[in-house]
Amino acid sequence: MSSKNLGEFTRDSYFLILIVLVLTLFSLLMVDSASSLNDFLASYVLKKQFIYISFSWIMVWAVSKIDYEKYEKFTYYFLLITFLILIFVVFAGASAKGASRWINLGFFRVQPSEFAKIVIIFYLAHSLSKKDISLIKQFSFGVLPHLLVIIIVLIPIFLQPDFGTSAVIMALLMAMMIIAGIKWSHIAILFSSAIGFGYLLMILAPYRMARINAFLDPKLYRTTSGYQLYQSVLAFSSGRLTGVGLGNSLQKRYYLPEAHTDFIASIIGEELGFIGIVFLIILYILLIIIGIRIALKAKSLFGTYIALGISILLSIQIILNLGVVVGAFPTKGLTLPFMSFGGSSMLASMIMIGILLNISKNSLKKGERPFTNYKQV
Amino acid sequence: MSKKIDPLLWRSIRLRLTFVLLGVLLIFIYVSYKIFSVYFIESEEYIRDANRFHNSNIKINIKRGTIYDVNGKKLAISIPAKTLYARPRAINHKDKAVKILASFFKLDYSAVFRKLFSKNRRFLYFKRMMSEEDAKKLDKILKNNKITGFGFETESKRVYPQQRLAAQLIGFVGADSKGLYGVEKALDLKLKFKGEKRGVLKNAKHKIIEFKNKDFSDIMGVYNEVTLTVNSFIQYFVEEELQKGVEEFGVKRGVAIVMNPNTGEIVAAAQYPTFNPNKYKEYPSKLWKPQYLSMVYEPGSTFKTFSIALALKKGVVTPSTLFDCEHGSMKLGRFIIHDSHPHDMLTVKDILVKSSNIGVAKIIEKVDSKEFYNFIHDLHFGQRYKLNVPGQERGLVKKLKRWRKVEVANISFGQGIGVTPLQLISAFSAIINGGNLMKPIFIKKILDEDGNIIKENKPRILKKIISADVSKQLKNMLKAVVSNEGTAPRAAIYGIEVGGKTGTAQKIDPTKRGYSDKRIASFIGFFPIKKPEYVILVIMDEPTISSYGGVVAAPVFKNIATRILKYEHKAPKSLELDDLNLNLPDLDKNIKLLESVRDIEKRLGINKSKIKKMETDKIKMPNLIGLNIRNALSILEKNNLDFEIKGKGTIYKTIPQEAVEINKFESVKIFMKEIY
Repeated sequence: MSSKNLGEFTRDSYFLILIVLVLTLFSLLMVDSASSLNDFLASYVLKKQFIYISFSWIMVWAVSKIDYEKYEKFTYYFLLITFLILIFVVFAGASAKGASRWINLGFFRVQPSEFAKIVIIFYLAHSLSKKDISLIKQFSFGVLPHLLVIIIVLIPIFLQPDFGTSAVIMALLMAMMIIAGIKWSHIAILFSSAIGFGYLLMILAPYRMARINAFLDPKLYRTTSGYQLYQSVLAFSSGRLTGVGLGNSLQKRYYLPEAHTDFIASIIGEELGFIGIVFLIILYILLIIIGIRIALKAKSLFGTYIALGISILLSIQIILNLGVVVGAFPTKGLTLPFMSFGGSSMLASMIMIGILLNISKNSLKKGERPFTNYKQV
Repeated sequence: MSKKIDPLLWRSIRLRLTFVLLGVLLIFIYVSYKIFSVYFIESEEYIRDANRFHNSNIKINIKRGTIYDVNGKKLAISIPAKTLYARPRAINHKDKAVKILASFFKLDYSAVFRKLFSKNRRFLYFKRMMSEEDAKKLDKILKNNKITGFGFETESKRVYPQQRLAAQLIGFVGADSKGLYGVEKALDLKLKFKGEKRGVLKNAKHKIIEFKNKDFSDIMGVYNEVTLTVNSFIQYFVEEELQKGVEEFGVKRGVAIVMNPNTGEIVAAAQYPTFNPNKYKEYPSKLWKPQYLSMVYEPGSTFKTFSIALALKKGVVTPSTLFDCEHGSMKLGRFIIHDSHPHDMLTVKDILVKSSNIGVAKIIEKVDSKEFYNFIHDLHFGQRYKLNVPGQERGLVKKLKRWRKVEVANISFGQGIGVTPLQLISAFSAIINGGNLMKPIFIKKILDEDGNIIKENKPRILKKIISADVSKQLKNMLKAVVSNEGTAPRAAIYGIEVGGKTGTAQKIDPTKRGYSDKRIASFIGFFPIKKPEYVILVIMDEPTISSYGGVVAAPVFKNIATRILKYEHKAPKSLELDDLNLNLPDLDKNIKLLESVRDIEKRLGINKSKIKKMETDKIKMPNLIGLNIRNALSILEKNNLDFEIKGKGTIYKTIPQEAVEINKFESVKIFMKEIY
């Protein structure tokens, strides 16, 4: 079997491109709607988002051209560089709203933690795919190294502080290790310690506690820590079934902060109603399904793990973001992939799409099996 | 390159993937339920809350109508003004903000600080009714210093361009645009739209996004304009002469009214000391009251006119009937009636001319006291006129059953009866105009904004009091009062026949029963004799130099009359040499000044020239309703539309309507109205 069947977009690829195209156009529309009546945002948000999306599509095209397996040997360098950049951000990064998450490049503020997600996916895919299943089953090989590496990388992210991204990456780590075959007992230990750790974090940081309280009773905290969540929920409720109409959101009139970034879904929910949100969710479900299909058809386990990592990461982030804006989870600083305003988030998500496209291009042909020979087993 | 995967591992991966995806699905179901819930289960409460945030009722103050005098001179106008409000909790640099405000308004630092922060308020009006320039200046300072928490609202400021002129008649409005005195109060409903609350959608910064009901037709036609019967020029003469008289004779207060006896129209109504309605707060509130409506005083000898009129009407006397005036002192029961100058035999005419109390008392004895009472009643004493102007007193007329002989005598020469200046001048007008009691008129007409007459007060005869003959007889008698034989030679104007009657009444001492030594001196006069056009009543309350009406009030009458004659170019040649100059005030000066402040048309002109003509193109008419001119202009410019503007303020109607297709560069019509 030749692995050099490059250049051919599969049906999955076209479908993926179509969905992401719809999502990014939808993003332009909604980001503009969310910002155009805001004195501070109107002048630049649409323009910038258009540039981000255009550049991201170029990156999708470029990344889809590069064989993903070529990155594998650089995995640890990527990991080291990412870690150093993340450390740099904590000490010298640009900050906004009490968080130091960005590196200011002058023309563009990069949020390295968005790109760290990709590197982590590559690391996990590499590390989990190269190990034999018997090694994976051992705690000191299957669990401990991954846990340690991820925790080390997460420390600077956590210190930024970016609790949302940390949570997403932890969830990704768990999912990937489960899929790769670690022992159920290890899974149980990990889950219980994660819950314990989460509880510890909650009671240690007062701002996090406040967010939990606000989450539990948004109405009570609607003027303080729960203000944003409360206003977000009001946006959804006001939208009812069909929405107040595109451009007619009232919540975006300074009631809902960050309506164009993390809370873009609230404006969609208000302007296009329940129907609009369902439409968005269907797009995302299709995206994830295609991602998993691509994963299952990848020519190597490394590819499968990368595609699965991307799909799971995106799905977690989408669900967490939607959960936050409707009050199902406490507030975290998480963007809605492909929708929220922001260059780093958009570019990182789109690079993932480029990688998926490349995996799909290099995928097994119809009838090919990902394993030696089923019947011989 | 690609490693083949162990099928067992592959099966495990697929199985565990399914497990992970199920986990993700579970969380997704939970989130979906939450989404469903905010839309359909918890939604009602949240929608209610959202409405509470978004909706607001704002007070719409339609600009109060202009008040004009009879010549169309503006007495009260509304101009846009700004109100500075503060949201103390949103102020970022407290110290800096306080310093800026303190220096801008020339206030103490601590006073400003207290006002802003002492009560921990969310919102307060810091300064109401600033001029637009001041507001702009302050706004710029605040912006330059990046201070948040302040903003401006547009309101309508009532301005009285003629300052003190006819202050009590016009009245004034308070800070909330409510008429507090005078015509402003009387016509609150007519001058101002009352259903002020309008629903609006607002943003989180409390800026109005739009009016929920874009139909403004219900508030059209409520912007009324009022024309008074007052002639500002004459009012000006009256005020100036009254002030001169008050100062010259050391009078506590002076009141003067000028009436057209044939129509009952009030031509001028003044009092001194007075106040400036633009700064009403700086004056004691007693000065706000219209004394010509609310002052109740004993008219004294001016009232003799009515007593003699009744006797003449009844035919019990003629002007030449003789009465013995008892040499200045007559006993009436336990009381003694005095004349200021003793007389013996006087004709009825001379009794009036010399103002003999004894003579009048004897004349009125010839009439049934009930008839006297009824006559007084017919002349509207003791009753209020049905006027639209507040502050009118009823006066004091004792009940008939309490009229003993001495009371009748007293009333016959104007003691023991309380009248208002308006009652007296109206009744006197009836005596000299041929016998018709006219309804006093202050408001000539009320117009809507398009100039249609809503209400017009035409002259109305309330009652025929005396015959034209008696009126003529009385006029001739009153003419003689203003002669060297009479009590008011100082009222005489050389070359013009005038008539009148003096009055000097003792004032009741409120602390003890009976009269004090304080006096009210008055003079009521009219001219020309043949067909009187003006009646002028001058009342001097507590003069100190002299207490006689003929001394302190008559000259004021003379000066006013002289200036009126000059103003109407009816003055005889001899008067032109008089040192009393006409001295017409420039009544438009202040208005020009005020209106130059907001020269919207000028701005329009500049913008209009910027629009370049290009090929025509169909576009849709933008929605401009509820916008101010500045915002509308930017939209119109963007769309390359030419335009025509009617009115000022906020757009309530456009032609064509919103969304109608029109050609680019077509001229659209914009109708604006002041809505604050």
